[in-house]
Amino acid sequence: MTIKMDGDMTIFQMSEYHRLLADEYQASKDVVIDLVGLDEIDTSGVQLLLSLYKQAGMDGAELVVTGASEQVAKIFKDFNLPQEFIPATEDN
Amino acid sequence: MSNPVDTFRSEAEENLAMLETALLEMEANPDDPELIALAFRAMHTIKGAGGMVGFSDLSDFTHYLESAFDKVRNQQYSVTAELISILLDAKDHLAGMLEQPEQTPVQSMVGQALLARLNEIIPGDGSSIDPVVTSVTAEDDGQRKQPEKALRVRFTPSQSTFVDGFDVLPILNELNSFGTSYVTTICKDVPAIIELEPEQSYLSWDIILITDQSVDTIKDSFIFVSDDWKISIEEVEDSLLDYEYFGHIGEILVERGLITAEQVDDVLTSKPKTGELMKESGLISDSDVEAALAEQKALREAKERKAGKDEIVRVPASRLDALMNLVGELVIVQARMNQVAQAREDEELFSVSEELDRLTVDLRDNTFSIRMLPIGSTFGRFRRLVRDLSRELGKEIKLETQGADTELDKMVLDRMGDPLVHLIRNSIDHGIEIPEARQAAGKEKTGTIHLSAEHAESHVVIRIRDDGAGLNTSRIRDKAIEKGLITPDSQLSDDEVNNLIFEPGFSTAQQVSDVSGRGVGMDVVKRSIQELGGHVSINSEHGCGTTIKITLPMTLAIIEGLMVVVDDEKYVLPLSAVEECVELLNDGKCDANGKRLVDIRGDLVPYMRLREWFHVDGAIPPIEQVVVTRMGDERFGFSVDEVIGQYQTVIKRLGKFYEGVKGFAGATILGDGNVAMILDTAGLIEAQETEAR
Repeated sequence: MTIKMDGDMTIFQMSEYHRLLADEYQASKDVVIDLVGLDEIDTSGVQLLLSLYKQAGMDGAELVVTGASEQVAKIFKDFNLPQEFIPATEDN
Repeated sequence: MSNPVDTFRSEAEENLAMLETALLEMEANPDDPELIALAFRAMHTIKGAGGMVGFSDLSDFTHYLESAFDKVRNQQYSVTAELISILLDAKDHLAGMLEQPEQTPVQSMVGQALLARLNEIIPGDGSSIDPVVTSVTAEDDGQRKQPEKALRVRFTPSQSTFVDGFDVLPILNELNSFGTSYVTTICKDVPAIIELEPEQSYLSWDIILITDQSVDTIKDSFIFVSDDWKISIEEVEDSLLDYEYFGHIGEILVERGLITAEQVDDVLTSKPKTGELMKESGLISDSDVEAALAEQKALREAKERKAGKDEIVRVPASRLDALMNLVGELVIVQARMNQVAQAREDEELFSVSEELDRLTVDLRDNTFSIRMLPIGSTFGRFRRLVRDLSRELGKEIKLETQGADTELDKMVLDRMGDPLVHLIRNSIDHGIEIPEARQAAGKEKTGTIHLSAEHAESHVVIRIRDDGAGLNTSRIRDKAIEKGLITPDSQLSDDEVNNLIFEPGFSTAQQVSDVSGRGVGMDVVKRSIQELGGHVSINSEHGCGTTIKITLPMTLAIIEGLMVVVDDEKYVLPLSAVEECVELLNDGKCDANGKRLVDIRGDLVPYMRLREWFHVDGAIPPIEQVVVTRMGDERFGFSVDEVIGQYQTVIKRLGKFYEGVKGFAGATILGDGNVAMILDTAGLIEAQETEAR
């Protein structure tokens, strides 16, 4: 199951995204989060993905985050998050 | 060195030397970004530090240099020979300005002229070229110019922080701009998605920041959130910035909320190699371990960087000398204790003495190593000399160096500076030919001077080799005859003739009249080297070049000596000069000039009787000993009553009163408290020859 993220993933869209992700996750445990369309992400957005990651870890499900632009990937790196969690960039 | 101005001066001198080295190397590699960065950093440091200690003129001048050079660094302008020349002149100017905070009117004019030249190549930004307009930016720099330290910045944003409109990312970026930060995002409180309140913040951060900024500056980054967030900023002590404390891999993983402390404990109780085990137990994946390991490494690097910076301590040379003196005294007392123990046949005392001996030797060696400096620290100055002088003379010369890390006692190194300058100057001036002459002789247009240093046993050998024209042996011979150094019928090899240039009296009148006092003749060079217990020889091939070889002892403070006795007096000869000891059965022979000669396996070697030289009364023993020494290719003997043996000698200077006395290298205090003179063999030979004439 691939979930596409579009536009901004900031505090203003957080409840909306939370609902979306929680629902999709419960529907099919293994999800791919595709960030190709994502323009902007803030700390709350990263936290949301972390929370999903944690859930997947607990359930033994697989979470893949992919398609991040250089800018978005840099944010994950700035937080120095686990290597596995830093999304693959668009180019590779 | 508590005086900040002194500290500034010595640091500035170092930075100027660094600047000069970088500039000179830039001539060969004008585009090397590392060299450009190095030069820039040197200017920047001088500017900042100068402003702090009140050298505002110097700071301002450097500011203009720096601003101009910044444009080179940003690749707006490229490095040209002209720019390097100006900056080298500016470096010299700065060296002059270090003398006192206020510059003299002359200095100020020189400075303005330099800046004007610089402005022609790299135009300044409007007013910035006028040195009179001085807004001192140095103060800002001054604050930044604190030593680097490690700060641990921990913060937990308020739960409502996202809703309040404060994001963490800008703060992380700001912290990173202050230095190098190692960020750990702690996610252990983030609930799984089902329980998550998405607009609430659950995260916290633990950041190690290596920075030269103050805690207050860092605090200012949190100014808008300081009321609501939990923030702690503290300086990490060295002992705590230990990866075992911060970087323990299990701890990192727990902090991140990836595993719990209990899980770590479970794994740990089944034994070490934390990462491996936790991986096997399936708690974490390879990449988690990798990330944690990366962090561990970063912390270790941070620690090493810090440690590397802190380990250098500036100590005035005089304190080192004092320490060396004390170690010398200790060696003497130790020797005395040894004697007492032996005399008393006290086993217990003897074993204590042996232990003390071992420690003393270690202490001595360690103290020595502190005084040792790499010879490369003087090479920079030669590079400049070669550059400037060869330009002046219209020659093309490159200087190659080898063995820059060869270590020599600081005192030896200091006293070798001028002789080396003189020798290199000679090579440039008289050795290397002008480009046209070189081409005519079928050589490369650019001449090479090769300067090398290497260890050979307890000595350091320095060689200066040029591929110039070589010495004109027949001219030297003519001149030596003219000066009365040799007779026209002397049978001398070419090498022997060439070495005559080191003889006193060979120097030309021109050199002697040089008022600067530095235009010394080669005899002075030889004398300085001999005073250091070394010797020098020259080897030259006409048309191919000249090699000057200097052999120096590594240190001046302690030598291996050979102790000898004349009547009741003890003397020490430097063991490095001693070749052998032979018994003198009869009174020896004399040559036509009344010189004493001893027959050593068929060779007649001249010798002097120390008893006569020092006017010691008393009966001459039936069998005397001759200690044969070698200086270069020549041998010379000293007859004594008795040879006692090898003796480790701490050299004490004789002091001002005896400065002019020839034949003594110093004195040493013996185990029984008596004083023995250390003989300067070369000096004695010379003194005797002078007397004979």
